Amino acid sequence: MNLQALTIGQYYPGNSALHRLDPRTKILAILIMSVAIFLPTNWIGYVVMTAVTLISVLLSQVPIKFILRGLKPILILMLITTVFNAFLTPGEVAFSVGPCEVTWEGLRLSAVATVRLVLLVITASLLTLTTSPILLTDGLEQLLRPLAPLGVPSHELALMMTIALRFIPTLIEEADRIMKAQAARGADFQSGNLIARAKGLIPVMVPLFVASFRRADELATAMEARGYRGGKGRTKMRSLTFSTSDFVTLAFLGVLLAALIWMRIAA
Amino acid sequence: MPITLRHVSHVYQPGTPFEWRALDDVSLEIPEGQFWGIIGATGSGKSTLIQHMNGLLKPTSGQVLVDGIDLASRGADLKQVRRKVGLVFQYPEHQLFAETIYEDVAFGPRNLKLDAAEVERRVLRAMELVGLDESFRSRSPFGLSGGQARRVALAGVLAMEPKVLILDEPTAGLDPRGREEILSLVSSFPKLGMTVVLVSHSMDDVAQLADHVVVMHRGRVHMQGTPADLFKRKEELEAIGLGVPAAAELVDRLRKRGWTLPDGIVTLDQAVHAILAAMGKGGAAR
Repeated sequence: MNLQALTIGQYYPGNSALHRLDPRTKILAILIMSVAIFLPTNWIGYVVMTAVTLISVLLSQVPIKFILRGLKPILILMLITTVFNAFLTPGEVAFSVGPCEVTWEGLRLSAVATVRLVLLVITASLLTLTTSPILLTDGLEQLLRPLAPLGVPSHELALMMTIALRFIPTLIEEADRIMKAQAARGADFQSGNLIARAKGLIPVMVPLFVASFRRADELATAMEARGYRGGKGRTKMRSLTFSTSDFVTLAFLGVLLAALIWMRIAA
Repeated sequence: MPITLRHVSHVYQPGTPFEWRALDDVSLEIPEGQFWGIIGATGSGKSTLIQHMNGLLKPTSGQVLVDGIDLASRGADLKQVRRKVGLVFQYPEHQLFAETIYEDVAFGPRNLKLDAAEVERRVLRAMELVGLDESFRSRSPFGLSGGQARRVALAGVLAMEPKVLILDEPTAGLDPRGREEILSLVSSFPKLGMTVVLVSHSMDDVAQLADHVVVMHRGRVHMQGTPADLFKRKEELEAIGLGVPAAAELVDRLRKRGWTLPDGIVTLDQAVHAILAAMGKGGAAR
């Protein structure tokens, strides 16, 4: 098992137009896009949405291979929705497989569902591919700040996210090291039945938990030693600023959303 | 149990922006019964290198032969190899997990499917080797001192009774007394018939213990030879961020001030003898 290959958050370092956008812009853009993807009432709308997504992919300069990798986990979901939509939608029969009938309406629905799902996953993965985890949580914190009077602890949430994200690679590395060390003592993680395998993980889990608690303790001490007292009155080393391209992006998406809503109402 | 590496290269995460060539065309031949030292700066490929020696990592290209068996070949029994080649990672006490020290040390032998009597014999022998008496048997491995915990972890590998023992920075993070204990323990392994590979940042330790030293730099074997030969090349070592043992440095500085001292001094004992000899001579001349 190669734990190193497991990358979560999947940030693809770069300096493309999309990388340079303010993280708040990108988070808002994802929100707008995920609404917009469900709005079109005809194929022109979907062509436009697909074009917008493809242009974003090109602007991100992320190799297409990484984008497609993000689609792999939803392949089965796509297959199931397609089959269900195709067979279970009533309407004019296109062709039949044995006793089951496939309708034109069903095929149309399948196509729409697939396009929506693919576009949704691609735009969402573009966010994490082009935004470093730190910037992402910074952006989220700023966006949530107006909700503070409602009792949303934006700083604490962002801090928890940052720490969690920060320690994922560390824990993976640690788990990898411990597994190797136990393998060097003849441990076998691959063979045996489920119970044997679960038992085989004890020599990995115990040291991993011990290490995590130790790390958490050290981190808390280090933060206190550096005067951390919560989010109140804290300033940022890197303050986020909107640039022209951020305004252009948001304006474009705003117009797109408005147009789609108008089309939907008109139809 | 010789270990042979032929043109071994290892690339982490190939084909991604995180691609990293940790080993680049490394060829080594570690003969049976020798004590080898591996030195190099952080990130020079030392840890990657030793993980190839018991099949924890597979080379991206090249061959690793342990006792003539190619570890990458389909028929290679890695469990057998790991029983013969023991590997002690950095901070091995971080891998302790069982409720008692006995249980933890017994983990390896039990994985070898040995019978209870043999497991017990091996555990007790390993504990005795590292200097832990019977009173430790049912104590928890958590809550020991740093040096004690490390000795428990070492016992866990020794109980496998390996023919080759590879140690990655076995003295890191220990106090001087713990260091001394571990080093004297490690120096006793060749007498038990083990081939030893010691990865270390400490030139002094390597100079004192090793028969042969390999210097790693940027994933390549930069130099190798006996400590006496190698530590003569002070400038080359300093150029890649390493140095020479304190004793060699002292001799070098004395020489620069006009002392006449013999070549190849790398340990404290050798330096003391040479300096006393030189002083005695100087005194006689006066």
